[in-house]
Amino acid sequence: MTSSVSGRCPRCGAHLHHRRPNSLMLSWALLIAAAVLYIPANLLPIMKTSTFFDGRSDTILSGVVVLWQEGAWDLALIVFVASVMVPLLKIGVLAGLLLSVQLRARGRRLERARLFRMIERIGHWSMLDIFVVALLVALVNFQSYAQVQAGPGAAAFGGVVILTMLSAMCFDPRLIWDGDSAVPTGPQADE
Amino acid sequence: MAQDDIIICEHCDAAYRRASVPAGHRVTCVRCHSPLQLHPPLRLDTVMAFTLTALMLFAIANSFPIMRLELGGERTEASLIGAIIATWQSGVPLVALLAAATTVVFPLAVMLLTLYVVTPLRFGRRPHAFVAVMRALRWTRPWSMVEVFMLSVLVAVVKLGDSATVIVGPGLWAIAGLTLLLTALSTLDLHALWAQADRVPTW
Repeated sequence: MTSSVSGRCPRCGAHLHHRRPNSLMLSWALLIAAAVLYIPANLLPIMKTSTFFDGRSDTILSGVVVLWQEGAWDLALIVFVASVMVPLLKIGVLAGLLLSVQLRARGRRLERARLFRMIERIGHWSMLDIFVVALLVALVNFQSYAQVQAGPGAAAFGGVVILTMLSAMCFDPRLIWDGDSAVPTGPQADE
Repeated sequence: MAQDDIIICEHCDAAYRRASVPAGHRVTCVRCHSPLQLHPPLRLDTVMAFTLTALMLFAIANSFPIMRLELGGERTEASLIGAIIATWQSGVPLVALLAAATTVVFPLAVMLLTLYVVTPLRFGRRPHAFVAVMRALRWTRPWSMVEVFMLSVLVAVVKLGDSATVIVGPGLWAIAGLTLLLTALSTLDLHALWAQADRVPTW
């Protein structure tokens, strides 16, 4: 392995790095942007419904509450998990992982690695609400009775999902294991 | 140097010597427990068949309505593209762009790129621009979200079911099938394709 420290992968020609360059900085930047955008995503309406009698705006949370009050508790639960719990969990877990790596934490490496894989897998399910809004906009379009329009909160929320996904992609999970000498690792294997 | 002799865990960098694995067994990293090889590997014939079927379902999903809605004599319908266009016109183009990228552009790119790589390999040839296409495939895969869209269709059906008549269209069945096929294709091990391409001549 050490013989080919030319800096390029002989198979695909990509630059070789010991760890993903600027992983922590990029990951933090995207995560902070996501956290900031999370505020308008929850305060601004994601959907505006206007009917013959009245009109109303729904934020993500008020949408969940309405579903709950209408008795559709199962839907309310799905939307709550996908739109509220997953993004919060993702932002929290990523921040925790980034801090733990920066503080060179040595404990619970396996648990942290598992947490990272979990948030990578569930992250994109938050797009659920965005797609529901798009479908409702197309379907509920009756001139005389009712119309649904998308709100600016939906755009902000979509941004949060994208930014947290990018932040997780920039994070290099191998950083969790640096300093652990239990098993031989790639670049240091021959040393 | 035989590149195929060593496997390095992508998640924690632990290095292993490759060993033959009995069929039906999972190989995971002893340190971080992430899978090292995906088992069972999809056969190239299977991948081709799945991709071609997925492309056909994709065409159906985009040309037929997913559902229709009836309310007091008025009727509306939504296809995948229709929903995106309606959202665009509704004044939040960013949402429409996100939906278009994650349910149309990236899934289509994943299918076409997969087909482009797998078809020549199936006949023992390495396609042109293999490296660039494999890299593109790796970057596009996480952004294909047809399965999330499928769930959102179900949420919308239930949500609207109380106040209007919802008629499920052929597009919905196409999306359901597409979800299954794309999920199966997402288990395609790109490392196995690299190894395969190293052993065959260029087209």
